[in-house]
Parts: sequence; structure tokens; C-alpha cells
Amino acid sequence: MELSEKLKVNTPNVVHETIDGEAILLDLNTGNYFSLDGLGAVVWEFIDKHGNWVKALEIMKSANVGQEKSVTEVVTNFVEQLCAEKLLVPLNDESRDDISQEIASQLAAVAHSFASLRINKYSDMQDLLLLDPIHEVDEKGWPESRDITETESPEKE
Amino acid sequence: MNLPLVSPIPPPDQELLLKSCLFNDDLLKKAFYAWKNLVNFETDIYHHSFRQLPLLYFNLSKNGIDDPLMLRLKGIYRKSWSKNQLLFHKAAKIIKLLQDNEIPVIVIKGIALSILVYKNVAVRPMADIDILVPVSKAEAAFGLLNQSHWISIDPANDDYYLKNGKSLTMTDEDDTELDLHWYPFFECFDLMNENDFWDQAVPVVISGVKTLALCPADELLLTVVHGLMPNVEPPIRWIPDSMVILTSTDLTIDWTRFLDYAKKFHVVIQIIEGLKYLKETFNAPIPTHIYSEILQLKPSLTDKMVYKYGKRQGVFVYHPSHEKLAFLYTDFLKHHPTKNIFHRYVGFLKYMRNRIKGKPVFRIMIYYLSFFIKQNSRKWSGKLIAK
Repeated sequence: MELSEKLKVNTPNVVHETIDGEAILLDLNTGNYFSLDGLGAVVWEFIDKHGNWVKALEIMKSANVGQEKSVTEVVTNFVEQLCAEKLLVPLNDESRDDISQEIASQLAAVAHSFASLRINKYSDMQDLLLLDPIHEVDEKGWPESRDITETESPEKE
Repeated sequence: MNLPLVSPIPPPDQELLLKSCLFNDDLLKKAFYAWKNLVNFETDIYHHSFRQLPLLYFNLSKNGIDDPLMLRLKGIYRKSWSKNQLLFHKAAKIIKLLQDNEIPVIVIKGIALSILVYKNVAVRPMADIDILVPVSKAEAAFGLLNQSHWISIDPANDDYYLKNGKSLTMTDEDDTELDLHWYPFFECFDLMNENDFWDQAVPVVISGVKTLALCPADELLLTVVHGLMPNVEPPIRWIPDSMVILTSTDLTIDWTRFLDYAKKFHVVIQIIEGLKYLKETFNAPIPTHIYSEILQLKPSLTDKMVYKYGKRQGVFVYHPSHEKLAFLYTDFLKHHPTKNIFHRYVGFLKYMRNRIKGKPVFRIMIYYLSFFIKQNSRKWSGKLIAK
């Protein structure tokens, strides 16, 4: 897959919010729900604000000297999946190149955990919405069901 | 007239929960831990409390409270966010459909409050989509929605509700509920001018579609009136909804309009009871002179009748005779406000004669008598017991 250097969130089809270090994403057309933890949420926010995932990659490589190849592989794979799910689409305007020091520092601070970068995907929203979020969920809360055999398990990608 | 008013005051556990949702710092901690001690999270969270949990999570998180419940509360917040996003998306399609056919739309309740007041998609869970169209366009809007596979939940009575109701509930193939309103609340029925509520409507964008929402004063009035509606279990959500409208620094409430509409639509009791509770329990920031004015309002007989009989549930003919008569008497008072007792009773007989054209007069008298007995039976039995 050929990745555009500049990307943006596929609005209005995709809505997202970051809550307490977790990015939650919903594709309104498919009903697919996604969750990005820790570093994934920071990378997502970086792309949403600045549009340039390659710059995010550079910051992460600088924070992981000696592991640049692995970082490139993991981050590229992560961004490719976000594009394959149509959560991100190519950005054509040049307006969002300035990188704030705050988000760059935030990214550098958590970049060491690059190996954990992944997308949690939950694809049956109708079933998920029927899940009782008090009694039928595990300790992480909705949409993680308590008994994994009763509802569709998340596809870890 | 001694009308039993439904208390707007929630039970202690719900009041603590609401304080946990609305207060900050030490007051929040005090309320939250008291609530946790009082309820068993596994067994005691029912519908109305459950709907406050996303707001609870948001407020606890904002105040840096760490608690073992937080992960599950966060899950409830995520679920509410997802469900509301899907409803917003669907609402936007409906609004677009109506606008394309020259029917303007005001979003009311959940959607409007989420976007303009809470400014958060998750904290106010929604069960349905509420929209308002002009009274003159209600039938056209209903027809359009029908063509788009939104089906009324009570099709046998569609015509009745279009003529005599304030709204119709429809569902689509996913069982999403849509409440199509042409009056924001039933008390406005027949009293609303075409421009009322519409003249001060404010712009709002729902999933990329531009439309309108009620101005803060009107949304507050709707919230309080709806919240104080006679109910077996009062829907406590009116409390945080009202409080967030009242405390939002970027919303300006036109109190003159608020009071004028309260008087015009005879919902004075609701606003006295509601705002008094908000002020006393949650220290609602109501301007002092407005609060004094509200407390000095004297509900008229019409206000009392409207409070008790202004909102009828279901189709008129299925109600018992004394209630039918009360509804008709309330309608009469709404349209013929008078303090003269003679005019009230004789005028009502004339009004009834016009309403049930061709029907025997003795039937009116029987209805009238049964209503009179029903209204006074408590007083008479009290006197007998006292003797």
C-alpha cells in the first residue's frame, strides 16, 4: 500500500474523541468501533492535529535510537491499517505542518512503547450496544465483554 | 383547589449521584463517597440513575478522582458516546430530508443539549431523536418521514395525534426512535403562535448539517416543564440539564422571555417548583430579582389544571369520563381565562355544548357532575373524618 505522507481523519464519516489517554473512533458508515491506547492515541492525535505521520515517525525514531527499523515497520503498519479501515485519508492541503512542542514532547515521552502500537477493532455495533455495561463487561469496561465466548471478540490488528 | 403535586425532589441516593455529577472538589468527593456507601453498584443502578453515569465519569475524571469504579464508568461513557454519535448521524439525515423539502427543523432535548450546552457527545445518553417542526408543516413532515421508512408506533391513531397531539413517535428498521414534535410540550397546544420558539432559535450543526436549536431560555423552560411533568418516577435528568444551562458561561438566558412563556403556557407551577429546588439544593445561579419574582408568582386555577391535566397520555376517548371532562375543562380555561366563577361554570357549559355538537345535554351534565364529585371527594371525606 502506498501511503501518502500527509493524512487527515476521514470526517464526517469518522468521529473520534480522546478520553483519558485513549482515542475512541467510530466509522458511522460501517458502525465499526476502534480504540487506540497509550501511544496509539498520541499518534492519532498527532496526525489529527498536524496531518504528517512521517514527522511522527521521525520523532519516534529519534526516541528509539538503534531500533529505527523496527519503529518504522511498526508505525508504518499501524498507519496503513488506519488507512485500510478508511479512518485516515490523504490530506491535500499544506496548512497543518507546524508541529507543536507539546505534542512532539508527548510523543517522544511514550515512543519507547512502540511495540505495543495496535488498533482494537470491534465490528458488531448492534451487538455491542446491547451489552450491559455494568454487568456484562470485564474490568476494562464496555466494549470488552466479560465472557469472551458470548460476544464477538475484538480483532487485534 | 388542593392538587397533589408530584415532588420534583429525587430520593437521597439519586440526589447524591446528581451532586457527584455536578459539584467539584470537596463537595464532589463528599457526595460521591456518600453515594457509593448508599448504593450497591451491581444491584441498585436503575434507569434514571444509569443515565447519569457518563456525566459522573466525566466529572470524576475532570476532578482527578481515582476510584475502582472508573474503568466501568469509562466503559459506560464510551457506550453512550458511540450510541449518541450514531443517533446524531441519523438525525442529520432526517434534518436534511426535511430541509430539502422546505421544512425547517429545531433539534430539542438530547441533541441540542449535548452540542450547545454540555458540549460533549457522551455525557447525556439519548434514547431517541427529538425534533420540532412548525405546526403548519407537521403533517407534511410526517408524510415525508413515512415515505422514508419511518413508521409511526401507533398508526391507527396518527390522524388523531396530528390534530390533537404535540408529537408522534416513529421508528425505523433499526428500531431507532424519532419523536416528531410540532409543539415543544403539550401545554403549548393551541396557545402557541406560529413564531413562538422559532423567533429566537439559534444555529447548530449536527454531523455537518446546519439547523436550529431552541434559545437557552426556551430550552430551559422545556427542560423544567418536561422534568416536572406528573410522573410515577420523576425523570431526574432535568436537574443536570437545567443546571448546565444555568451555569454555562457562554449562554445568556432571556429571563423575561422565560417568565412570559411560563405564564402564557400556564406552566407557572412547574417553574416555581423546579427552580426553587435547583436553587435550594444545587445553588443554581438564578439572578436574585428573577428568583424573587418566580417565588412571588401565584398560580391561577388554569395553571393548576394545566399542571394536572395539561398533558394527557394516549388517546382522549380511552380516558375515564371524569378525566375527559377535566381535560376539556382545562382546554376551556386555557382559552377563556377568567376569575369570575359564574363565567367559568356557565361558560364551560356553553363550551361543552359546542364541543359535543348534537349530543344530549344530559350527557354533559353527567360528565360535569362526575368531575365535580371526583374533585371534591377528598375534601368531603376529610371533613367527615374530622367530624
